[in-house]
Parts: sequence; structure tokens; C-alpha cells
Amino acid sequence: MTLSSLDPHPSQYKGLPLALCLFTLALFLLTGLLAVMEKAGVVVVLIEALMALLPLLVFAMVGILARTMKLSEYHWGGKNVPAGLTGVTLAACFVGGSFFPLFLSVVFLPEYISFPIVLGWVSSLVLCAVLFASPLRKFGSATVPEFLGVRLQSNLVRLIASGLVVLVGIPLLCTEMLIGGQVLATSLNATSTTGILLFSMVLLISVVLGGISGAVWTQALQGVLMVFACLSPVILLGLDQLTSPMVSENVGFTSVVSTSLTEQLAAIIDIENTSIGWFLMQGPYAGGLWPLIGTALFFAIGMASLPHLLSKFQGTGSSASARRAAGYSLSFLLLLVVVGSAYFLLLADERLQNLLGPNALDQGHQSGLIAALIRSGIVAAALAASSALLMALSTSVSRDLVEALVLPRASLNQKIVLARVVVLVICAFVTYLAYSESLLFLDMLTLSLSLAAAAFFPVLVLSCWWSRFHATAAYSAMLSGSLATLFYALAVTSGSTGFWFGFPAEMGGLLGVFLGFAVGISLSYVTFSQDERHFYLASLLEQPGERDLSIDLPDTSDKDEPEELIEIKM
Amino acid sequence: MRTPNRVAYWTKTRALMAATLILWLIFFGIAVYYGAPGSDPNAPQNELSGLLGSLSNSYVWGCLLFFVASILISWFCGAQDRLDESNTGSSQKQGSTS
Repeated sequence: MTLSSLDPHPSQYKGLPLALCLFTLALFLLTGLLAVMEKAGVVVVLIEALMALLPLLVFAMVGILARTMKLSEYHWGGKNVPAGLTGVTLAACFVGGSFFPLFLSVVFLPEYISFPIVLGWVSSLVLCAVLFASPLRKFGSATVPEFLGVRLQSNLVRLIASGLVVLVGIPLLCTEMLIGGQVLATSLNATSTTGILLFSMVLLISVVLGGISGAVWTQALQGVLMVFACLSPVILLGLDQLTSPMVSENVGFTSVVSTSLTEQLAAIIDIENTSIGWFLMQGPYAGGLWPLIGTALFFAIGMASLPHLLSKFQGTGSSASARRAAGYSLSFLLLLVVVGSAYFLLLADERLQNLLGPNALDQGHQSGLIAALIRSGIVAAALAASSALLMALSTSVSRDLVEALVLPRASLNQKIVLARVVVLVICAFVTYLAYSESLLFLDMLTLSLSLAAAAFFPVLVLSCWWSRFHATAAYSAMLSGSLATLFYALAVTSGSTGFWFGFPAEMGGLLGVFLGFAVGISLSYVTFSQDERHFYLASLLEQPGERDLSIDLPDTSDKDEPEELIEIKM
Repeated sequence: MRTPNRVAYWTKTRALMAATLILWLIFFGIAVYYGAPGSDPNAPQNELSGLLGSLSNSYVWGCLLFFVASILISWFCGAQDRLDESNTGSSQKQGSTS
């Protein structure tokens, strides 16, 4: 029996378009109310705090309302997330708090920075759509390690991949938490530790009860808030026009801000502590053809290998939806680039500057409603990426490590409870790491991208598209690629060696990718066992996406969704 | 047999994937052929000179074109998959009723 021959459940996302419209309307009303309060002379601190806290309250409430006791909803979002919704949430997670300032400024950055970055971003989603989306969805696994374990029929591959997911995901989650917490603290006029704690509490509430379902709902709202934040100058101008219609001959977007982009960005966010600072301050890839190709390849392969982005494709309704989701995601990113680029231009408008008052756009300090709006957008972006990362990490730990090693025969209820406990533990652990600020996670952002590329890209490509590829070759490729990346970074930073092929320490993952392919392909021609099951699993990829494979026992709470059981033997 | 057109599907999928990647590489190649943007690390950052001013820059146009081509590629791949799935589904239903 196949899924397509059954009537699907009424989708839990049916009401989402209405919810998004209501949320947008609420944001308009809130902005209007706060603008009136600002004009009436209410203290700026209160306005900034309200603009920061009220969206967070909505996200937390939505997370509670999306609670579920169904495993398929907790780990896959119900396996019926529409393609458009997957695209929007994928784009929101793709951007995250670390890249959101780049989206605001990418058109204005020097070409040698913006061109390779955009090429890399777009290419990564093309690679996802063409290479990974369909096979990942076809196997119906909840995590990338589970997909590799089922496809290659090996628990060892699954365990190693899960460990690498944790290694890649923890620094990324810490980074997002630090950025979100610091920006939130700025809005609340509080210390950064308070901001981080509040951020992690909202993050936890939004995903611990609903899992992926809660994450999808909140990420969709966060995507809307990100666009809204980019459009905030237009909205404020529109509101002003509505309340005090005035036709002026001189109104127009002609004035030019005297300050540079860097200073404008510094007015919003502490740029030294985000990835944009890394690009603007260090600029290690400046000029030349090889740096252009290297940087674009680095972003393309690195972003296409991130487990929390790939897991988005596993919750769609079909493999066709998974591929189309990448198209929707690209459309949303294009929209964000366009409206984000308009932000600084509109900010330079004379009338808006008069509207905001002389202190609103001071260098090094941007205050008032417009600053609170853009900061809310950054916090929303950081929350979207954090929730995806937290769910990818916790699902991998609970399913691929704890269930596989300790509780292989756990009931569905036990699995749900276990998943929630793991979410709680990981969130607490990462909050502690971010809180203590003992490690330089912000410096590790690009290294994590590098590590993800080296660990997962060769293995995923070969698993999806080559039936000869087997488990021994898989874990050898993963380990050799990731170890080479780490050793290269250590060697370059310690001064033991210079740049190989011009790659700085953070971009050693590209070397790891080539090594991973070489090891994986060469070992695949050596047969270590007579077990031919991986050939059978590979042959399943050669069929149109009509089946849904899972290693779970059938979900008794969800009897209309039959799942084929595939045992993984140690 | 579960999917009678298994071989055809696989061949078509590989061909589609190869064509997509080649098209994408052509775009990439054109971008590279026209030269990497030069840079001077000591040069000051760009002033905000307006979106329309920026659009006269060929690199920005290249990026926009790349975006649009990639969106079309993704949708085309998805549409092809859906066509195969619906064909298989209908052929199975016919097989089960006969």
C-alpha cells in the first residue's frame, strides 16, 4: 500500500495562510500604535521593548499551540508540509541571524565580496534541489544520519554521521544564540546574558512541545517578520502619509547618506561579532579569479551540506514537493535581497529622516521604532535558524544515538518523551556555552560550514547517485574529510603551513571534500563483505517517489499512514 | 512489478540532473569568463549611491539572472518528478483494477 493511494489527513497547515495574514495585520497595527506612542513622547525604551517582546510572545504561544503527541509530526512536521511553506521556512533558516545583515547590504558591498557570496548562496540551493532533495525525501528518514544509515545499511555510519552533526551544529547554534541574544539585549537595554537567556527560553518553548511542527509554524511567522523589518522604512512612511497626508515637491529617494555602509550597519548591530564583520573586516578573498571560484564553491557546497537545511526536505509531501521547495526558497531569498537592499536606501530618504528625528540615525546608535523593527527582524532570523538547528541536533541525538544504542525497542510515547528531554538538554547545554562565552563560536561559524561540507557532501552525493557506494567507504570518506579539515585549520592557524591553493584556514573544507570523494570512490571498488542489501536500497532511489520508508514501528496513533519497516542490523 | 518504468525514470532523472548541472555550470562559466571583480583592500567601502545606480553594475545583473535561472531550474525539476509520480500512480491504479 502506498501513501498516494490513501486520502491524506487534513493538513495541520491548512490555516497557515490565514495565520500569516493575521500576523502581518497585527504587525501593522502594532507598528502604527508604537509610532503614535513615539510621536506622543513615550520613552524610547518602552517602545523598543514592546517591539522586541511582543513578537517573541506570539512565537512562544504558537509553539505551545502546535504541541503534538504524534511522532510523525514531532520529527517530520507531519510529512505533509506544503512546498511553498517549506521554501519560506528553508529560506528563513538559510538566512539566520548571522547572514541577515548581509542580505540588507549585499548589493552595496564591493563586488569582490557580494558576487561570490550570491553565486554561492544560490548555487547551494540548486545543488540541494538537483542532488539531494528528492532522494532524501524518498527514504522518509528524519535526519541525514538516519538516511545514510538506512541507505548504506550500517549503524556505524549512522553513529559517526550523528556525531559529526553534533560537531557541526553546536557552534552554529551557539552563534545564532549569541547574535539573537545580543541584539535582543540591545533592544531591551539589558545585559547580553539576559538577552541570551530570554532568547533561549523562547526558542525552547517554540519547539519543545511541537517539535518540527512547532518549528515550521514559528519559522513561517519569523519569515514574515524578516520581510516586514526590511520594509519598515516604507511602512513608517506610509503610516505617516496616512495620518498626515502631505504633498511635497521635494519628497523622493534622492538624498544620499553621508555615512558609509559599514557605519550604517554598525548603527544596527555589533558588526564585529557577526559574519558580516568577518567579510568586511578581514576580506581574505579579495580579488582574482581563484578567490571568486573558491568562495562561491565554499558557500555552495557548505550551505548545501548543512544538516538542518537538508532536513527541511524530509518533511515535504513528496519528492517533487521537496525539489519545488528549493525553488520557492530561492524566490523568497530574491525577495529578501531586493527589499533588504531597499532598506538603507529608504533610510536615506529625507522625509523619513525628518520623521524619525535627529537622534534616530546617529552613527553608532540607532534608536526608536525603526531600530526596534530591524532588530526584531534579526532576532526572528536568528530564532528561525536556531529552531531548525536545535531540532536537527536533538532529533539526531535522540534517534541516531540514544534510540539506536540504548532504546532500540522504545514505544512511540517513550520516543516522544525522549525527544523532548533531549531538546531540553541540548538547549540548556548550548545556552550554557553561549552564556559562558568561553569559546569563540563566532570565529567557528565558517569552520562549521567547512566541516559540514567535508563530512557530508561527498557521502551524500555518492549515497544518492551511486549504488556501488557502501558503508566502509562512507565512514572512511566522512572521517578523512572532516579530520583533514580540522588538521588544515589547526596547521594554518598555528603557522605550521601556509595556504594550500590559496584557501585560508576556514576554507579547508574544500580540500576535505576532494579528499572525501577520492577516498569514497576508491574504497567503493573494494568489496569488504558479501552483504548486498545496500544495492537493494540504492535501487529504491531509481523509482518515482511512491513509497515512504521508515525504521520506526508503525505509529498506532496514526493508523492511516502505513510505513514500510526496514530493519538495520548491526 | 511495482514500477514498470523504473529504468526509464532513472535514465530520465540522471539526464535531467546532468542537464541542470551543465546549464548551471554554463552560467557560472559565463560569470567567471567576464572576469572576477577587482579589489583594493585599502579602498573605502561603497557609499550608498542608490539601487538604480547599483543595477547598472553588470555583476548585480548577473546575480539577478542567476537567481531567476536557479528558480526556474528547481521548479522544472519538481514538475518533472511530479509528472513521473502521477504517471506511475495512474498506471498502478489501472493495473490494480484490471
